[in-house]
Amino acid sequence: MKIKNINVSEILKPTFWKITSVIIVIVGLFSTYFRFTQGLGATTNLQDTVPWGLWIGFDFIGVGLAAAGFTIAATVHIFNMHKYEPLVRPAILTAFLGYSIVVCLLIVDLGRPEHFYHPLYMWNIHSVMFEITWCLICYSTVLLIEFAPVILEKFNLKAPIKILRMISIPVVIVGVLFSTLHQSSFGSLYLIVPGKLHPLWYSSLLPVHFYISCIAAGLSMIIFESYLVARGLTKEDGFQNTGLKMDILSGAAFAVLIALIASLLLKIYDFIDDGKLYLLTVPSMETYLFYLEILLGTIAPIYLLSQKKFREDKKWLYIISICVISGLILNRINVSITGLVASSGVNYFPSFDEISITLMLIVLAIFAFRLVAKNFAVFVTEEHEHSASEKDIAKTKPITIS
Amino acid sequence: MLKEKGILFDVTLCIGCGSCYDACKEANNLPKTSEDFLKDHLSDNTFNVIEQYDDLYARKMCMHCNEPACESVCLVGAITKTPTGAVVYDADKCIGCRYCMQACPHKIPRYEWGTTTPRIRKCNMCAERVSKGLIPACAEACPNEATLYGDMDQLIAIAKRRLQENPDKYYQHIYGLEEAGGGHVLVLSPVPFEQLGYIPELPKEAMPEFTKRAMEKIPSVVVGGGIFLGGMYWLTKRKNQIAKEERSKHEN
Amino acid sequence: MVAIFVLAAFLFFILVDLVVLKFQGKYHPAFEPSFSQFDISMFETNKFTIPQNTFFSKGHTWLKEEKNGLVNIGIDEFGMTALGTLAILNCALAGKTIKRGDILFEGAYGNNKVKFLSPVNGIVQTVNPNIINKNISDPYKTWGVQLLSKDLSENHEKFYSGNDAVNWIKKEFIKLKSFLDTHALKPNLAGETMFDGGTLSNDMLYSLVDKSTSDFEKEFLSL
Repeated sequence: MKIKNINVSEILKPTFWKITSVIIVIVGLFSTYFRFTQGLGATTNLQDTVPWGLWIGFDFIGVGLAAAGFTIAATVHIFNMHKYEPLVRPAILTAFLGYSIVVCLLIVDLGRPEHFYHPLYMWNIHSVMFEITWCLICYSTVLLIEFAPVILEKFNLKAPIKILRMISIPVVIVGVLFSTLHQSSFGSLYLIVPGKLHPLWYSSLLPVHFYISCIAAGLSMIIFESYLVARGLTKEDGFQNTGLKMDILSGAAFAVLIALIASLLLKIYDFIDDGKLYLLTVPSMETYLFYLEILLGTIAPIYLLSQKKFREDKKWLYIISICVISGLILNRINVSITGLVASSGVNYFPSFDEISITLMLIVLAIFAFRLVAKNFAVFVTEEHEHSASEKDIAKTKPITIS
Repeated sequence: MLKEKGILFDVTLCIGCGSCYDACKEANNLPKTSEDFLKDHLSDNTFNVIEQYDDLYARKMCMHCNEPACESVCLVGAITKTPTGAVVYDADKCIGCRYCMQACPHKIPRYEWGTTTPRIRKCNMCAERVSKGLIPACAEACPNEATLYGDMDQLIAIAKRRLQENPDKYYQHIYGLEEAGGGHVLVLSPVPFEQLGYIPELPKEAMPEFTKRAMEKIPSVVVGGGIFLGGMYWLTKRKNQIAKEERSKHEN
Repeated sequence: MVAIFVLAAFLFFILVDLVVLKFQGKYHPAFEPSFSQFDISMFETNKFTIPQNTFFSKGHTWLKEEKNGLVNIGIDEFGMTALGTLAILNCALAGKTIKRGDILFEGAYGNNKVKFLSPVNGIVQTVNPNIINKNISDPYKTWGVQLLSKDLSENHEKFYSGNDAVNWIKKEFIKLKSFLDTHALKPNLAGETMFDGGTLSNDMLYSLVDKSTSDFEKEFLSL
């Protein structure tokens, strides 16, 4: 494969987001350097009473938003709803990049990052963290296998694609199971702190809450991302099939509606069952943030999505997807930070380095998405994925960088 | 078989002299962290503090739980329990995820934030001294026998006898016997324990139980989920196939 | 507080992106006007007949491949009529090497002078002398310059063609309507004469408020 005409002047042409990205990445690299040379204490606002901060909170968000990787794969391959085929590849790519951010952030967050491989052979099967680590490793492998045909077809390697296609259904099933386990296990992490986590969020059903909310938010992320793709990867830049496909997105939005209703009902059941309703009238920062989370992330989207005219309008669908994603952001940060403020007695706010490293990883993931989308057939049309791939094999294109 | 050992701390006997504080620092080679030991707090260089509440003094240190939350959450098994009951830490295994700090119901583990090769720091009931046949430094240093070290069953018996013999002198509760599933550090006090900064209302169940209940369901989720997904695949595929056949029949 | 901060950061980036798009004169896909909101008859009376094998650049020039690596380039229907009838004043000289983005044609709608940019790199081979200050009846038959260029054959995907081109030109006319609403000297008059009857009149000349021609170039003629 030759690297095709890298149009330097085109790449260097400054645009607002290019300049912003470069600044974010440079600042982030400096922060990363300081983090690894000076330690956590000097570069973060973490402390003995707040051992987990923005990075862990962001890991929860990243994993939650990457959930579409398994929901869409299951919809298309297990439930055989091939209408959603065009979403599969973007969803898997998003999931893979989302998990890459999460793994990078976890390694940055580890006190001894040089020991990161220890969980491979030092086992404690009673630890939720252990289960999550292994699920992350296995699921990332599954995502790679699921995405491999896209890469292989570009290089015209038919034999491995054939093998992968034979095992594709078991792989998807295994992927769904691993996702189910670790998505819920992020909630299980907090089961062991009943005295510390604020009762508004602590619940023995925390894993189920995490699981259902990630389904709604993961699908919303795919909707949101479709808009990002339509906005950023345009025809003028040489991308095909990146336009909005409203019928598919409306269908996915209906699934979001169902997941949101389920999550609201579960929350109500949880509050009644645990006798926690009185907490809703206690004026405190936690209560206000809880209300914001529920109103913005669950109740408002349920109201909007239940009406066909909003669900099928591209402007409203965009706003709804932003609402649901905001709800997940609030929920995960509330669980991992807000809900623990009272018991730690410290008002933690992330340091500059924490923020800049997080932003840098997001920018790099977006760049990687663009790079992969530019070089591989990520956006396929409604045609069946398999038949489409046969056609793509015929005209392989050289790799481009920009 | 080694007998399980523990520490009994009696607030009524503590005179706040600071001997245990100094002895702990010396035994663990810890640098000086405060001018006034009564104002010091737990840190990566202080495993044992004495807090003053009017004329009462309360020691704060690792409670060496029977089923430690920190041990159960550590994904690489860097925290373990010795046969004598002490909860000890192995820095060579630790990857630094700090889940133990998050999980500890007594908020004990501290971290070396200032270095690039940080360790979790906390009392290990002088595991090294004990293995040499000595007793923990704090118990040895205490001039008034406010801190006792010994077999757990004997300590429990002593504590119960004290509560029984002096019901007016003691608040009728042994802190640490049942809190968070119980541990190897017991505390007696003349006043309710929350007045001395001990965390009240801890569940009597061991903390790992809370996680275990969720983890137990994993095998059934895997098996049930696998069968469900496989079944759904077969069903929907069959349905599509039948619909296709119907269609071609109609066309013919 | 951290929750609010992270949420605010997320929403902040979305808002900044909308502002950036506004500055570039583009629409976010979510807020793009859809055709149903506008008077469709406007398009029916102004039939867009787009010739085959013709590509359209974002700068409202059309391109057609000829033999021997030659590319004919002209100004499309939109460019010819946007603010009134376009008179072409100047074009690049024969023999000149042109880069994508260099000025290819200079024209004027009345007093509003505008520049059309070259959509490809190449060398000017021939210039059509019949376009300067002439009334052009069919914009797609009258090419302006002939370039020697390989860019077009290698980068078809950068340009619009077929149905894509029709849809895009429709969108550009819709964009033009809102542009005129904000930039024309007598917006009411402009609105009535041009759009209410459902016909686009080529005879109408728009006087733009100060400096609007540069806005027009930025929004409609940039690549």
